[in-house]
Amino acid sequence: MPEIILTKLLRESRAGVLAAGALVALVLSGCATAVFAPSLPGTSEFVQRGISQTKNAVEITASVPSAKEVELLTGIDMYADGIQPIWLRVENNGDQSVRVALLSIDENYFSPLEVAWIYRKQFASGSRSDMERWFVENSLPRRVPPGQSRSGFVFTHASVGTKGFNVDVYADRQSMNFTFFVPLPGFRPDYMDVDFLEIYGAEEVVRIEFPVLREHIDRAICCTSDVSGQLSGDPLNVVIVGTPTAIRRSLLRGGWQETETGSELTRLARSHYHRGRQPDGTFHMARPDGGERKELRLWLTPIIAGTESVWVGHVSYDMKGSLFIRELSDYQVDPDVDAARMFLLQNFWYSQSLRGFSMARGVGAADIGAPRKNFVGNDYFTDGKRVVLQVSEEPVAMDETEIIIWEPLGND
Amino acid sequence: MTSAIRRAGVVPRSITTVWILISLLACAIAAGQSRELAETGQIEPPNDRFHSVTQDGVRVTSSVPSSSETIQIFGMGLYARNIQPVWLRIENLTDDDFWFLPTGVDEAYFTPIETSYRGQNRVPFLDWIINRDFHALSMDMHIGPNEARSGYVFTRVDQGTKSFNVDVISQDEQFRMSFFVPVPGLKIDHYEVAWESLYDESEIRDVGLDELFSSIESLPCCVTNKNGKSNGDPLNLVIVGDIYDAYYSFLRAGWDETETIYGGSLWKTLGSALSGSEYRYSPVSALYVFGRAQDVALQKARTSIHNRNHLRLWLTPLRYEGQPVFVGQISRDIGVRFTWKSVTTHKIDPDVDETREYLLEDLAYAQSVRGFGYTGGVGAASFDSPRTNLTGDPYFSDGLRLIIFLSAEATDISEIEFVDRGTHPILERPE
Repeated sequence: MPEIILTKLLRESRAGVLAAGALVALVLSGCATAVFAPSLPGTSEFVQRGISQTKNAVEITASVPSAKEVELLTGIDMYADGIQPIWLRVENNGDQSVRVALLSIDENYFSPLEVAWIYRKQFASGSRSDMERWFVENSLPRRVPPGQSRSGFVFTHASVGTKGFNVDVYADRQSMNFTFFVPLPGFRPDYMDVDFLEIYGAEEVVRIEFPVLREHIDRAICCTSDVSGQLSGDPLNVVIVGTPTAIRRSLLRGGWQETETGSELTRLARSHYHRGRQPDGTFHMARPDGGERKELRLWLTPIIAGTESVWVGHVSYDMKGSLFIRELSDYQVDPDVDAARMFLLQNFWYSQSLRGFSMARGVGAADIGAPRKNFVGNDYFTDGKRVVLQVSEEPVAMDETEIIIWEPLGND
Repeated sequence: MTSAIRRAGVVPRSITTVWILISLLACAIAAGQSRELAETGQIEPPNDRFHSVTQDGVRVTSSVPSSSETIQIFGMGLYARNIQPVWLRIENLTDDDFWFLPTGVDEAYFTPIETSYRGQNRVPFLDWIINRDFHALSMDMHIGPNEARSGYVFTRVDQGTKSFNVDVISQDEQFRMSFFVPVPGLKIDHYEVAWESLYDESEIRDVGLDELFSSIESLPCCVTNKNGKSNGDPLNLVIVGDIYDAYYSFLRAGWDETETIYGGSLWKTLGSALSGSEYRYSPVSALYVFGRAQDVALQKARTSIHNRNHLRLWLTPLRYEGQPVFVGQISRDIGVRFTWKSVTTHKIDPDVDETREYLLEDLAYAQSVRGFGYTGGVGAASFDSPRTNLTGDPYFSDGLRLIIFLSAEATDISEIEFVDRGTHPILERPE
């Protein structure tokens, strides 16, 4: 592959600016034909890794080049600037045009020429328009006419590890919603280390219908515990009901990030046990304007409501700002755990993941004036309830969310 | 009216006696519950900038304390920590349970104790007395039947006019109310257009769908400078919808009016000081259609402070199904560049079609679009032979104008109609 050799040459010859400029021009034109020509699938490793999904008459293949692969392709280290190109191929086998909603992939995606602008100074002026043209021509077109296919890059914000994203494709009064989870080498989200099929034996599984779910979660669940199971931890203030796909999609739509097994971020979370297990999955969301973050820990329960799995969890705010402050003292968890619960409810609601919700009895009330302590020593206060969230694989308009008001049980 | 609420503290004057009784009863009930302070001990902002919106069954009053007023209320500065409290009073005039969703005010709102913690500069140990005060002053999510609740929502600071939505939901209904609240001490640039006086009754044209598309196609291609002699950015955007719905749609999608300079007195002052080459000196400036500067200018911040999208709209004399039709221009800043006098200005993305399609998706995901279609009217310009706008930025385009029909109801992306008149954007590149 001559373009790779050229890229290597380019790196070694950075001293000569003019030579570099000339090489870049060659590399860019070389890459463009090598990667985006019709023979594409055979030419680049990341394209061959592509994962395909089909909905109705639309097939989408997605792949995510690693930082190294992006640099090999373009000579630009986009990951270093927080830009992660993802490559998509959209095949429309239907009889009307479809459109790809780029906003569904990343609501703050970079436009092709926005990326080109960032790197304008890396190239000699003569090759700059070649680069701009490359970015325009190799970006994913939005519209795919019937019986045709289109491919190209969408420039997203870089995330750590598995790249999870939605792709919504829409046509006249219909939409097809895809969700991709594209693993990147070197990252393993914690839930991938859990063998969910092995957690519960057939005799442990409780099959119920949704309307009686409340009695089961009421009875069985209070709080997390420490490793010994003796000391009480955080209130399990969240129940999520849905297929595994719906739950992953909901978290993704809401902007939650996966965490890696053994990550320092989950040190506190991993000290909490439920049914003798550390969390089956831990998710985080950082504030847009600071280092504070929300944390969600989830455990699979043995309950199956209808055909859907039931998860129980704890959501809270970690108010520690920067990593520097984190060094000085440990976590600072917002004792107002109900506020976090209400955030999660809205998070799912506004990101169109919520089919229905209700409030159920939880750990019991603890007043702000007389907070309870968990085994770590953090205080919390609560109205004692937990929110039950029914999540959907497909988007649900906000006014279609069903608010279920459960009558008080006899012992309430 | 608004000051009456403030003086009365609890009960607005214009509501019927029956309601007053119900309300007082509700307060009495509320007082017996854990959130006693929610009705009796609330500290309202010490100002007279109260704004109320009433819809069938719900009344919302808001006021935004300034930076110094915030210190009076909370005993600490919050603006410096990027926290702006918004005071709300929500009256539920129905027999149903209501839920107020603070995400509508700010999707990254702060919890009361998070606010207190930031305000205390993240001390190692939480001060329970301060925390309790913040918690007591915060707004509840649940508003029972015939109850009123008031309190603060802690949002990120908005410069200038604070614009936010208050979303209240019951089992059967959604109430969505928009507020534009000027905040003293910050640059105020909210500008009210006298919509009624823009066109005479005789100038207004009610059109059907065919005529709508043909009329839109024959609108001017581009914005112009003040004397109308030079063409600028393409007018590649048409919005069909009620003015209120349009504002609400853009707000929901995260657009706001802050830091825009246009049309009104501010621009006149600036315009007389500079002559001829205004565009070089003002990152957001007046552009002209129908001989007047834009009626609406909005901006949306993206990830970086320099990267914003700017949008300008002009009301046309057209009406479709009773709704106003706006024509507009949208641009995407992709960076900052220096002009010949070393004054910074924004570099515009030359791919204006990309920016146009972005807006469609942006409004679609705010659930505000019921349909869209295309006409010509802009004129195509290729990548190799771009046209230039008034600041000399090149742009290329397929030459089409996007028409967006707004929806007053939340509309999912799967419900959007493509109004196919045979014109399709060239958003395609053969594989």
